[in-house]
This record gives sequence, C-alpha cells and structure tokens, in this order.
Amino acid sequence: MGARNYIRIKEFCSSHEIEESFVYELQEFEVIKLEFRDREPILHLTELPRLEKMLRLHRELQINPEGLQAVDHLLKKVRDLQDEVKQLRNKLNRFEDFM
Amino acid sequence: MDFIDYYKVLGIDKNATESEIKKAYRKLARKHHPDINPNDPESEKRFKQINEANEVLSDPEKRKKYDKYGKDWQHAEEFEKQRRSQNPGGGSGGYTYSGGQGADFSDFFESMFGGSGFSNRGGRVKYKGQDYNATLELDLLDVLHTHKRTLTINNKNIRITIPAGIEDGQTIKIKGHGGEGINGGPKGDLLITFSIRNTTAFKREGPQLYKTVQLPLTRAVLGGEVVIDTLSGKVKLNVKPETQNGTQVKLKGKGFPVYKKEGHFGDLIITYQVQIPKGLTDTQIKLFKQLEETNLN
Repeated sequence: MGARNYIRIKEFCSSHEIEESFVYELQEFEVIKLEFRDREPILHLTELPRLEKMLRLHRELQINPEGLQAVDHLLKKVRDLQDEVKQLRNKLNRFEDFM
Repeated sequence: MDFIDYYKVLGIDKNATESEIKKAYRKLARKHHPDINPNDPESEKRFKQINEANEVLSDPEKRKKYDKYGKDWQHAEEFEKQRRSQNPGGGSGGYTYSGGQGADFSDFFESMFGGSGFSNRGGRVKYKGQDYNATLELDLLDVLHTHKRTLTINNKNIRITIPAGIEDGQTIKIKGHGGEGINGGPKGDLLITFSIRNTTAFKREGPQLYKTVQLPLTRAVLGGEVVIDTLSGKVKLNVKPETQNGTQVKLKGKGFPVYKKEGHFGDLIITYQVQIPKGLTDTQIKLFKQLEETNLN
C-alpha cells in the first residue's frame, strides 16, 4: 500500500495547535491550495512546506494572513529575480570568450 | 571565544525596558527572518544572533547574569551557585522567543547558559526541527553520470544519490536528516546545495553546452574539417566554405544530461571563431595583396 500523499487540515491544525480558520484564510488569499477528499479539506504534501513556512512567519513575526499574502508574493518575485540574475550571469559567462 | 554584546546586537541601550527589548527584537527578526531572506546565509547568521540576544535579554534571570558576568563569563558559575542558594525553585517569566528556527547558540552563550536551547514557557507547541544546510562542491564531470556518495553530516553518514545534470546552486532536500523536533515535532530536513566547478572548455546553461572553436582563416574560407572534443569523445565536423566568424553549429545530444531524465541530453553549440593569421611570410603577404586587388570583400 502506498504512503498517503496528503494531510487532513484537521490533523495539521491539531498537531500545530492552530485554528483551522487560519488555514482557510490562507486559502482565501490564494497563498495555499486546499483540495477535498470525502468532503474533507486536505492539503497535498507538496504544499505542506509552504503552509509550514507561513505558520512560522505568522507565529514568529506576528504577520497576519493579509501580510502573509504580500510576503508570499514578494518572495516569489525575489526568487524569480534570483533565477533571472543567475541565467544572465551564465549568459554573460558565455560571451567572455569574445571580450 | 569572544564576548558578544547582546545590547549592541539588538541596537538597544543597557537600560532598555522589557518592552523596548521586545520591540527591537521583533523589528530585527522581521528584517532577518530566514523565510523572508531565502538563500541569504548572512541574514540567517544575523537572525541567530538576534534570537540569542533576545533569549538572554528578555529573561530577567539570564539578563541579570549576563549584565553581571557578561564580559567575565568564565566566572559565571559562581553566579549560578549563589543564585541556587538564594532561589532554589528558580523559574522566570516574560516574553521569550520560542520558534523553531535558529535554535543553535554561540560558544559564548553555551558557556554562560549551557546548551539547553530556548526556554519554553509559552506552552507545549510542537515545532519541526531546524533545517541543516550543507554545500557540496563537485566538478562538472562528477555530475555527468548519476552516482551515489556518502556524506558525513554531524558525525552521521548519509548515502545520497546525486542525479546526473544537477545544476550549480541547485538545492536538494533530504527529509528528516535535520535537527531534532521541538516538543515531539518532526525532525528538520537536510538541504544540500551543490556548487559545481567548471574547469572544462565548455560553458554550461542547464543541459546545453557551449564551446568556442578556433578556425584557421583558410579553413573558414575554403571549408574543410575540424576535430573537436565533446564530453563523449572526439567528433569530426565538416566546415562549410565561407564560414563566417561567430557561426554556430548545433550538435544534437552532445550536451549535458537533462536533470532527472535518464538518457536525455542537451545539445552542444559550437561557435566558430575565425583566427586572423599572424607572422605572415613575404609570400603570404604578396598573396593577400593579390587577393585585395581582386576587390575581394
């Protein structure tokens, strides 16, 4: 039998001692994506690190869900820019031979 | 081991109140939190210092000890003995950071307060253990084939598979090989970032390889053959007559392995750089002059 690739929101919230409403708010703000299994909200394991990160930011820096949405958006931009810089560096490297 | 000025770390005065410490800590923690600063080891280091400073200064007992013995930490044990005789029950209140990140301490902290980690007066909240970060340096040719390697992390041997085609700067996560969870939380992960040294004549962009090949002027004009080195051996190429400087030729499947797609390879792009001859003989100069007279452009 294969390992389960999702976690029930109830399970997550009880093990992290957090209100379920926090998770639903993050979903409303499109920070995480929830799915439903047997009419029960679940989170795919690939999304779990993202939710854990948001929970850390919420708890450790007292950032509310609106703030988390902004942080999430800006972090994505940072990652995209870091990738772009890396690609451009690689490209530049290629032309070094001609300089 | 150096003395750490925790007041300086938090940018506060020695007489700072509890609320001023809390405010300064929160302000700096927001700025340097590792989740807000991905791939920034400097911020991570700073975050740990901030946490450590807060751990000490927000706890009246620790602060008292630090203020008294901070610069003279070797004698801190005397303070402990004195404290135990005066207050056998111990215990303290106040705000304490109790997050899952940054729970490792400087030698200075350990020597003064021991290695017990953050106090946990905020309840039995489970936290995932700390993620460990490691960098693995490999040569480009090392990642030409998928292979296994044994790494020693914190005195434990971990055997990992390194897939062919892994990128420079790419990070892979080995679940559950990080720090112990807090209050029964799951173990952290081990994040290995690859630093791939490239000392070959190839430039790499993902699975695409690039190489510049010097082409003698006569070969570029008249055409012919050149033999070039690829990662899978020598290849003979036909050079078309009148090949221009900067002309590119694509050798399909002669590039680098595609990450996690066994048997798939990128291409090798050859760029011809036409060499202008130097040290011509009188005869050669004469021949070039004759060429010039033909109005050759």
